[in-house]
Amino acid sequence: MKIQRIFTIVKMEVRRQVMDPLVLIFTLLLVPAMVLIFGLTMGSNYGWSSQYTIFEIMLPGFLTYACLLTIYDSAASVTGERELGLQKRLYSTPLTSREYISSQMISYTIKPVIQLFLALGMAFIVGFRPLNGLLGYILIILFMVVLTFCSVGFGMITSTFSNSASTAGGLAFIFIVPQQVFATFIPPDFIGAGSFKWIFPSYYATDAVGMIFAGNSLTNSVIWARMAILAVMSAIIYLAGLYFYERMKKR
Amino acid sequence: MLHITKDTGLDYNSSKQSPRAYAIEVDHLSKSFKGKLEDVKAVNQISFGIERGEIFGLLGPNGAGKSTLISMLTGILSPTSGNAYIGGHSIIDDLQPVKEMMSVCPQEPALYKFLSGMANIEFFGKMYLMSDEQITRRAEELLRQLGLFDFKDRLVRAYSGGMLRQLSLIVSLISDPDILFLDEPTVGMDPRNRRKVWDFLGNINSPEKTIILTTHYIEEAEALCNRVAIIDFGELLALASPAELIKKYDVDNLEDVFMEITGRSIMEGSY
Repeated sequence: MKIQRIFTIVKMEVRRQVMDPLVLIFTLLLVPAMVLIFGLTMGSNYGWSSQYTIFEIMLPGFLTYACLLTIYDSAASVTGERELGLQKRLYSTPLTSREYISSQMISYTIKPVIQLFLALGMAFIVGFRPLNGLLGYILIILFMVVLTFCSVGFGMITSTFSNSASTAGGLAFIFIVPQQVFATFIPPDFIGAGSFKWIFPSYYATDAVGMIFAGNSLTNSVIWARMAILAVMSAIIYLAGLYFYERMKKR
Repeated sequence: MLHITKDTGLDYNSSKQSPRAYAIEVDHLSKSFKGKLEDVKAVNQISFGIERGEIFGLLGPNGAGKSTLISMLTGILSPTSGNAYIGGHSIIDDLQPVKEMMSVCPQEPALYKFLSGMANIEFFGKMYLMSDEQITRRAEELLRQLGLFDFKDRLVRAYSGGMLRQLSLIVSLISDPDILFLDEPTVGMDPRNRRKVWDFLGNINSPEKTIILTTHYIEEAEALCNRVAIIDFGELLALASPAELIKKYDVDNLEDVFMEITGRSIMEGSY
C-alpha cells in the first residue's frame, strides 16, 4: 500500500465534502442539532428508567447514528463516481483496491468525528456530564472510528449493487435503518428486539458508549469485549467490502 | 500457439521474432456479456500483436467491440477467455506492472468537476507516485502544447466539451506512459481541435511510446495510425497499414475498405 496514493484520495474527498458548504453544514449539524433538541426536551424526563433520563439513554445512539450515515455517504460517492466513469479511470491507474478502500475509510471518518465533537459539545451545553472524563471521551472516539470503518465497508457493499448514486442512497438504508432501530436509538430490550441486537455492529458501539457514559471502569472487560467484537465485525465487513469492490471493478 | 486471423498481417508461426517482443500481444481474447436470451459476444477470439512505438488504430463502428477490447487490455474488464500480454505481463495474472506502464484516456472525459484542471492532473499524477516537481514540470509542458495553460486553475465544471477532452488527454499523459490507450479521443470535438489533437499525438509518438487508438473516424485512423485493425461485431476483420489495406482492396480510402469488408459504412454502427 502506498501512503501517497491514499492521502491524495483523502485530500480529494475532503475537498469534495467542503465544496458545497450548505450541504456540509447541514450534514455536520444534523446530529448535534438532534442532541441539542433532545437534550432540551428530554433532559429531565425519566420516562424509561428511574436512573437515567431519556436523553441520557438515547445519547449514545445519536453518536452512533452519525457513524451509520457514513454508509450513505460512501455508497453514494463511489456509485456517483462510477456513473461518471471516474472509477474506471481510477482502476486503470496503479491504485489498488486496498489503497482505495483505506482512503475511503480515512476520508469518511473525518466527518463523523467532527460530528461527535459537536454532539458532545451540545450535550455538555444542555448539562450532560459523563463520569469518565478525557480517557472516556478518547475511548468513545475509538469506538466511533471502528464503527465508521465498518460503515464504509457497508457502503462499498451497497455501491456494488447500485446502478446510480440515488439508488445507492436508497439501498444504504437497508444497512442503516435496522442498525438504527434495533441497536441504536431505542434500547433493544425495551421493544423486545433483544434477540436481533447481537448481529448489528452498532449495538456494540452504542452499548459500550452507554457504559462509558454511565461511569463504568474503562478497564471493564465487557467494554473491551464489545470493542473486540466490533473490531472483528468491522474487519469482516471490510473484507466483504473489498471483495464486492473487486467484483464491481470487473463488472 | 497464436491464431492467425485473415489479414492480420501477423504470422507468429513463421516469424523469427518471439511474440514477447510485441509491446502488446493479444491471444484469443473473448468477452461475452449475459443477455436476456443468450450471451452476447462483444469480443470474439481476437488475436494480434502491436509493436513498440506504433500508433495502432482499432477501427470500427459504435458497438463493434473496440471499447470492450480496450477495457480488457487495461484491466477494467476480465476476459471471458484468452489472454493478453502488455510489456510481457499477463493482464490476467500480472496486472499491476501493466498498470504502472500504461495509461488510459477514456471515451468520456472522466474528471473531478469540483477540482481545477491542474488539481485533476496532480491527482492522477500522484496515482503514479510522481513528485510535485515532476507533475508541475510535465503538466506545464502538456498544458502549453494543448493550449490549456491559461485555464489550468479554472474548475473543470467550467470547461467546454472540447477543453474537457483535451484535459482528459493531458491527465492520461501526465505519467509519460510507455503505452497509451486512447478511446475515441476526439469524438465530439470540432475539426480545429481535432486537428490540434492529431498534431499533438503525432508529436508525442516515439519509439518508446506505443499508442492504441480506437476511433470510428476514418480520417483520424488514416492521419495517425501506422496500422489499423478493423473490428466489427467483436471480430477482427483485417489488420494492416492503411495504405496496404487500400491497395489490397483497390479502393480510395479506409471507408471504402470498411465498406468492402462489411458491406456497410462505418458510421452506420453495429446497432
